[in-house]
Amino acid sequence: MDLSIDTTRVGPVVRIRLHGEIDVATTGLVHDAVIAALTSDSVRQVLLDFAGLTFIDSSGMGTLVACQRAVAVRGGALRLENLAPFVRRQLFAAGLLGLLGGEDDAHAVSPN
Amino acid sequence: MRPLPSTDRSVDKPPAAGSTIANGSLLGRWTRWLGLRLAFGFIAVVLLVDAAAGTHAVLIGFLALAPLFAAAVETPRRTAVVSATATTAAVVAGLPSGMLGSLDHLLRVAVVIAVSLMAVYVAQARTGREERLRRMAEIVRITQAAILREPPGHAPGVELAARYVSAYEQAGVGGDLYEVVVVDPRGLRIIVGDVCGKGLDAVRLASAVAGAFRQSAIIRSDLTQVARDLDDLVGREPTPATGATFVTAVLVELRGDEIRSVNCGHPAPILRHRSGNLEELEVSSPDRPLGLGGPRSAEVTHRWEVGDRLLLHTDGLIEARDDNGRFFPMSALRECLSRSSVDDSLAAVWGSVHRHVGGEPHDDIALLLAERRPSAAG
Repeated sequence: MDLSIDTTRVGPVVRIRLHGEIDVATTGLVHDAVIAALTSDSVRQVLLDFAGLTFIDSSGMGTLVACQRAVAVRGGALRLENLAPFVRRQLFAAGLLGLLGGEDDAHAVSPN
Repeated sequence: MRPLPSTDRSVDKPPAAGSTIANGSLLGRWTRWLGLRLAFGFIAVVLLVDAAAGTHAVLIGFLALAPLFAAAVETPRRTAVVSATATTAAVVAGLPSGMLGSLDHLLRVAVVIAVSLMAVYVAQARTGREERLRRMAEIVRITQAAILREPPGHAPGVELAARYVSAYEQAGVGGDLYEVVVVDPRGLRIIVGDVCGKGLDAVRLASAVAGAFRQSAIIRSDLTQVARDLDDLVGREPTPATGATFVTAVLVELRGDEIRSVNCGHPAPILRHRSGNLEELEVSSPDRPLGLGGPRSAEVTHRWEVGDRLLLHTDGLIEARDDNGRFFPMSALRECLSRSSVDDSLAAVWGSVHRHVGGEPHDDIALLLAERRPSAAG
């Protein structure tokens, strides 16, 4: 299964739309896209738009954590948007929803 | 208490791996010969079109596509055969139109020869890489089987069975783990976990986590502390370039009628009541996986009756998908888990997953099934 990525930028916000699945075969693409978004210093927020995302496995979650760290190191914030119910459940069950800026959970850490 | 057959895993493995090899080579033979036939067919079509349209060997440049196609799917030797055929065809195509030997013709033949040589090289590089990947996957699989210990045959008040099935896909071998520790004559502690990542690094970390759990589970008074110990261990692991190092795990203590658990971002254990009802032991707000920091929740306690069964598993089970992308249905577990023994039940689960996927699953699956026995027997 493939993953297509579409990046747009409005001011300090980069929106990365993902279509397909994040698994072992496609994690590199996601990481590259986020790193590419960070090449400009003025980027403050990276939005991962998951509207077209149908599946994510554990290696995909690993990559999202790595992306979150990469963005945080540069003083920005990562947010996940439009999560499909399945993807939301996966991330919630892994206790990662709050860490990745998906939604609030019990351990949500404020980026400030 | 029936001792667990020590061959559970080793019995399961060879046929599983063997059938993959058998299927793979059968399928491989078909597609390989298919590639050769298609390449020859393409050459024939180009020659026919060239002759029929009377284009004076203008089209023979297309012949170079045949070796390129062969390089993608064939062995180097067969690619060389296609290359030689394409070159011969390019030369012969000059005959009917009398173009043979003209500068135009020679140039086009030269292009076909150059691409043909490159195709053989590409085929060689491709097969070499495939072989290395295959060997690596095999090494990882064997290493993994060697470090996962069989659960103890005699556990207090509990009958246990475990099963581990490696993915046979290249680079798809992950780091699932399980470990069972008898803490005292009345209780035992279990961990089932999944290292995020693949390959030898993941297997190495799985081994370290299992080892640390053995130690910590004996010393610590509750599972939350054990989880914190493992947090410290995993948190010190180096971070890979494009990923993160963490381990999802569920820690369980079985003591009499109590199931105590701490869930670190892992799929919820499934409790099968003797009535046949399935209950997922979910928590309201799951903790993060091991190694990512964050707070650790207190133990959660559930009750179970004699005859109830507890299934601990990794995401390979619920994420096993069929050709249409449908996940393995939880409802299928109900029947599987009602077999007469825990061993038979796990065999049924595995058989059911296998049927659902239509072959070998793409991810590792670790399964551990515990049944509460009458305390007199335990």
